[in-house]
Amino acid sequence: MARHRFALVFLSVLCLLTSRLSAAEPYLNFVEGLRDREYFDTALEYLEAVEGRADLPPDVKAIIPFEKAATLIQLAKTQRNPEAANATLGRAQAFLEQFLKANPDHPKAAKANSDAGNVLVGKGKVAVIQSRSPSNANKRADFQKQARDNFEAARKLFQDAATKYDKQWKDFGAFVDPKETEKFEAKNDTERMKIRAELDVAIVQYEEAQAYDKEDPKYQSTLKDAAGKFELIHQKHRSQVAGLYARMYQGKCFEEQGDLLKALGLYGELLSHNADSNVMKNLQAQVTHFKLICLNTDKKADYILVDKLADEWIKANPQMIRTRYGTGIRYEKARALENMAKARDVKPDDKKKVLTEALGLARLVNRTGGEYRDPSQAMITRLMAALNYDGTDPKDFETAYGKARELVNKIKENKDLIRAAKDPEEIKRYQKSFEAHLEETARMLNLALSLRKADSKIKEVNTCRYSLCYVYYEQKRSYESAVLGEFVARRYAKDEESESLPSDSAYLAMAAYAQAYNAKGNNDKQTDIEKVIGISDFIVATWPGTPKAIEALEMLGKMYLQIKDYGKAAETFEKVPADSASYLKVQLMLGQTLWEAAIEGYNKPEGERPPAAKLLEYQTKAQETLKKVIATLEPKLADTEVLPDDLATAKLTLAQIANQTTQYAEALKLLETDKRAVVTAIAVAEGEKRPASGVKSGRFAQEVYKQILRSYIGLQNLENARKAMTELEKIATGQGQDILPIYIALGKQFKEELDRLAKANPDQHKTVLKSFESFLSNMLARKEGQNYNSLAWIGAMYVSLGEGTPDKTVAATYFAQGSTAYNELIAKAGGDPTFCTDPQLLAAKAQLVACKRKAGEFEAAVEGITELLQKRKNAIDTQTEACYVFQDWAAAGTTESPKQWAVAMSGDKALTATKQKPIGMWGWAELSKRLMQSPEAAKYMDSFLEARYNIALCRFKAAAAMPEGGKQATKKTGEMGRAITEIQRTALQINMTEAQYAKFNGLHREIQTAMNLTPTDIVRNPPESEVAEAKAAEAKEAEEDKKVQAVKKKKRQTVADNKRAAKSEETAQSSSMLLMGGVLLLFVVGGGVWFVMRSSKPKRPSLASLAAGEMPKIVVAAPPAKKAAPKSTAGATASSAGAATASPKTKPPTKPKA
Amino acid sequence: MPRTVRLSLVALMLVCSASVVTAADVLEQRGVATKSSGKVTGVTKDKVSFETTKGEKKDIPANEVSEILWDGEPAALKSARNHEAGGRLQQAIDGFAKAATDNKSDNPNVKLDIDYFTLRAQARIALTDPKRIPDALKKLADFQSKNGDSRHFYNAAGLLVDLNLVNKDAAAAKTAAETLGKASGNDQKMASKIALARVALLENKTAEAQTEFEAVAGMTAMGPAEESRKLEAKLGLARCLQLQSKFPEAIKLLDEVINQSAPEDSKVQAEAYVRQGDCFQASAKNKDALLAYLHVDVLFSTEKSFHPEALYHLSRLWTAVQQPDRANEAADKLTSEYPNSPWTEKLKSPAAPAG
Repeated sequence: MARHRFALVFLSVLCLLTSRLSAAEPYLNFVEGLRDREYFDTALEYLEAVEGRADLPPDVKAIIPFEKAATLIQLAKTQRNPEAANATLGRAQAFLEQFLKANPDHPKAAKANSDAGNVLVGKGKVAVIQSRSPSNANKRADFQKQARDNFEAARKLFQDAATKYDKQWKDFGAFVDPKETEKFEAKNDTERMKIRAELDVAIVQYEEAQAYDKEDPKYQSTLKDAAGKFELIHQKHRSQVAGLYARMYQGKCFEEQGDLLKALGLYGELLSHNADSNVMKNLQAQVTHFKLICLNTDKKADYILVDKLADEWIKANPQMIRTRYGTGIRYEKARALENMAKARDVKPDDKKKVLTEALGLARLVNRTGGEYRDPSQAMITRLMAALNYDGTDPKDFETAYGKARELVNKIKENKDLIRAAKDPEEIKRYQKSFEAHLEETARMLNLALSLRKADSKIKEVNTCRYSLCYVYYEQKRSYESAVLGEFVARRYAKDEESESLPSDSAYLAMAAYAQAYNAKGNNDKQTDIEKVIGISDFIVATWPGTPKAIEALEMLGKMYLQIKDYGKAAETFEKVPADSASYLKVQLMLGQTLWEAAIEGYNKPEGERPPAAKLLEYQTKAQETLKKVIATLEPKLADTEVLPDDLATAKLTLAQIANQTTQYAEALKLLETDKRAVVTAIAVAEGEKRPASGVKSGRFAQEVYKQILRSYIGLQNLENARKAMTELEKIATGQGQDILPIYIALGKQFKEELDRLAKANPDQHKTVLKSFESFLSNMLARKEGQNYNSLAWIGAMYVSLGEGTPDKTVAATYFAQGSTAYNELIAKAGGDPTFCTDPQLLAAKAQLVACKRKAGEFEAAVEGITELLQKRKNAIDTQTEACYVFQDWAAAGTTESPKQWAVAMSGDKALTATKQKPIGMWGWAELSKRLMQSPEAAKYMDSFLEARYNIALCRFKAAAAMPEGGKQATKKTGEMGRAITEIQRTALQINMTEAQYAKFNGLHREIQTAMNLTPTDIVRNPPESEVAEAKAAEAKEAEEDKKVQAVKKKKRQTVADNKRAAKSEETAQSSSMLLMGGVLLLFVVGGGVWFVMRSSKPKRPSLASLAAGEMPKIVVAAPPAKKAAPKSTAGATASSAGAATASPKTKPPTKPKA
Repeated sequence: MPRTVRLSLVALMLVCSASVVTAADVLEQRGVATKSSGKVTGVTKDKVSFETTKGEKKDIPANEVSEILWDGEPAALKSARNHEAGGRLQQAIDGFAKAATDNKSDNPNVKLDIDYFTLRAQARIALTDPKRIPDALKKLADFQSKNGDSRHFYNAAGLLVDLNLVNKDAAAAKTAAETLGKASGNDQKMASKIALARVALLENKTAEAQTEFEAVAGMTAMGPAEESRKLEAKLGLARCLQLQSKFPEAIKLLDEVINQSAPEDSKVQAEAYVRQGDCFQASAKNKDALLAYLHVDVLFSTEKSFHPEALYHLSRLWTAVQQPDRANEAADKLTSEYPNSPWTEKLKSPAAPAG
């Protein structure tokens, strides 16, 4: 695999080499990339291979030893064995010496000095650790001396590095113009390295203090000197990271000198900074750890505060929990708990709980190993003694099984306590105690399982497994739970002795996979879905007709819905027997599913579309099923009873079908005019806020009025259509939304509807289209009563029609009509400030730009976007539109086109390069960078990928337009190679959906074909941790870039400019976000009501879009307690009666039975 | 008869019958649900002669005897056996040492069992700690030379094959495999062929190995032991497919192995899941790979030959599924439970070879 990876990455490098950067850059980027991914072996192998090449540029050859050393230093950091780390550092040192000897004046000589210094510090620290080992008591002084010698040598190297950096920095001169970007950045880098070297000099002094006994006066005096040095660095560089680190070390020096007040003061100061970057988060983690050490001292003894602060940090930083600092923080918390239990006024019960929690933590810390292994082991021994544990675990399966069962039985007790608690602090305390209990229960169950013998009763063994499966589920160890559950289910399905354990385990496995699917940060939901489907299928096939099988059928049906396999979903729902309690509810789901299946079928491209008869069958069957359920359930309602959610949903679906088949009056009856029309169910009192989910939610209500509007358009009833628009606007306003994005989405929805009709019934399509055009034209022509709402709607509808028309001439007339509507809106707003709000006006102007662009009026579009960029520079949609304006212009093939590719990619940079006026445009490259560095990067993933795709596309198209042969031939190949690299890089970084992958891969192959290469697929789903690592590298890159930008900005802009810009950007940003939210919200409405109802989160129509969704809820059976066979969960349905309409969320598992 | 006298008689009868039970050897035979009590009257490397308490005499092939609980064996022996079965090998070795000290039986088979079980546990540790392999090899060879007719003779040969394969000594592994082939039991002959195929794999003779594995996999099995060998052969076949990058085929075959294995046959399943994990990883299916390796950690951690390998992969795959803390947990478990395993070395230094 490593070789495979090596080959793949090597190919990427070859591509990079085609675009000649500096000679060394591609090699070093590659090595750095390997190091970043911790492929140290591959990096070293590569360096060895490259070193032997005859054609290696001399500048690269010179730094090979330096790079080898850098690789080894990083490798040493990952080695836990001190001796092995020492050996690696020794090798690194040799390479550094080799490099420095051969290249004393090399620009990297200073860095080499620093690295060599770090090697020595590393060795010194190892010697300090060895000096403290009891087994080295007689060699203590020798190790200390060895450590000090290393530190002394390191100090010299750091000082030398600092001098070298200082000289380099001064050589840049007092002032470097920020416009000289490279030089400016190089000076900044040098300054950073200089400060780092100064900090290293001080740190090495602190480390030196550790090489003395605490009683030795040299210990105190060395710390004092170090504190002074840190103080100076902090004074000079207080706004830089190095300055803050100096402050932290200063605090540490105070702490170790016994001046806790001063130390805590400095730690508090550092913790008050915003932790808005990974660098700050790391610093603050370290500072928090130091602070807890201070608070845990006998002098402070503030154990309660330690417990609280540790909890807060753990909660806020789950990803850092197993880092060195995280382990330290957990260790300090365990120490605090141990000390809290010693207080005289602690009740015995509380004492036991606190000690148990401490024991659990100590065990966790002990498992982590490293420097805390020995002290945590000692703590475990103390805590066991304090808890009166004899320290010995059961020695046979039966005893361990009995003990484990006792613990399992107490799970209920623990959960009851949490449930009964009212006070948040109390809840938190019980929760912690519960977690410790689960940990101990899992340990005992595992012990029991490891003690089982060949003749142990299989039912007892499987009860243990099932219980452990349940405990893991409670601990959110979803995959462990699933593995255990599935094992018992599949391997013992026919084992009579195991009674209901296999089916219960299967059900729990299904729940565990669902839990995994719903877990935060899950980047591969598809596998989880497949697993849920697999185990649900198994339940249905193995235990047919049982309540669990029926629940599994529902679950399976819903899963097929999640992956949009409507045909299979319908087939599954149809299998639910008519005499089951959930039959009618499932029939509702079936009806809606069939309608979705029909819509999906119509939306498919011609080759993939099911036969028209099949789609018609879906549609008819959907109508029949829904009508049948409504006819069964509605008469049962009392006279005064409001239409329940599921029936309202069914009626809305029927109305959609009626509108689709031009039965507008029928639709209106269902929606508006019947006694129990849907509007009666969605009504809320004046001023009442609509709920987030259910039929009264804004999303559902909007869909109802969209369908009503659709019906009135069909009936050519202008007045009632306007009334429906007014209702829509009212609902949108109540939800804090702007109406325009809703109309834009509605336009798309109508367009899709028309498309479907064209496929299902071409004649009817022509009539409906004509009727729609006539309706729009009448509305636009009508001058009286025209407001923002109506004009925005008309504009959006025309744009949708234009986008859906392949005939360019016809499309242009639609866009022109759209422009007319928007122009009229803008003119009216100009004459009447109350006509609409500023954000609404800006949104309309953005739509006008899009109209102009789509109509091919690029100069006008540029004029419009320039104005918008002045007001909404930071709005993602505005920047995106600007890129499209230039990209479409470039693609249009006019005489101005060739240079517009560069503008689309680089925005202002390209404009100024060709002596044009900047307009505040970022271009795709800058936009993608900003999106990646956004704190909400995940939210903007689609926009990010859009930008990355278009960078590659623009680069490729621009290159393709270059002439063949001649001087530009190399550049042409280089640019195409670069585009390929950009695609590969993106694919390695991001776990793409199928659709996204297909899009990038298509471009990848197209470029390769253009380069006369055999097209290959891009590598996706990178092995192991590359996704996270690549993201981290990207974020680091972006962070650096941000700093440079910040410096430039600071120098360029006056304070007043900043304030003005910030204010206007804030306004623009908020409106932009609102706009984006609105679009997203309506993106998936399509024709399906159910998706509106199923989740409050928007979903995209692809498999991986499920990232935003949740699994349907599952009720989990508890493990058997005293009796091995647990009761069946019959009656505990997978979803409530309103499952078809309620937002699906995983329900917490039921309590274990006592 | 007075009640007290009647009770005393019953008690006496119970005591007598108990002494009868405890005075017998108990023999467990592979594939036979009930244990037999009686007397072991003779032991060779090919058979165990046994006389039941009812006086029935029979010769049982040595390879079909899964366990003998000797009359008068020290109590520590039983718990040591349990430790070994539970994968707590060091505790097992300590237990066997105690059993050796406590042993008062004049039956030489008790001592022989203790000696062999000790060597077996040491060999199993050595499989995860290559530094101990030379010592284990030497002791096993000594055992074989001194106990040429022991019922453990061929089992020792099997262990020698495993150790030599880990030690990458093809010639020695081949010699041990050929010794194993001289056994009278059909399943042992099958094991010998499998061992020779594994030697061929070590020598990169994949095609040759595949032919051998296919031959064994195609045999008709006459009992559970032979069924088990067939599964082992299929595991070998899957390995061949994996080496040829035929991952979907290998995954399918491994599924078959898992489904056909006995639910509690941890050795076969552990290997099958590790190999599946490898194939999934190679097919860029990280989550499937993680789930495969997780089976070994959660269900078959007693299989010390595979557990460290699974932990190594888990330590990397958890990160790929965005759970870096779990990756650390797996790494810690690997480091603390298998400090000397090649997989631990690989974790610390990716350049180090493993597996």
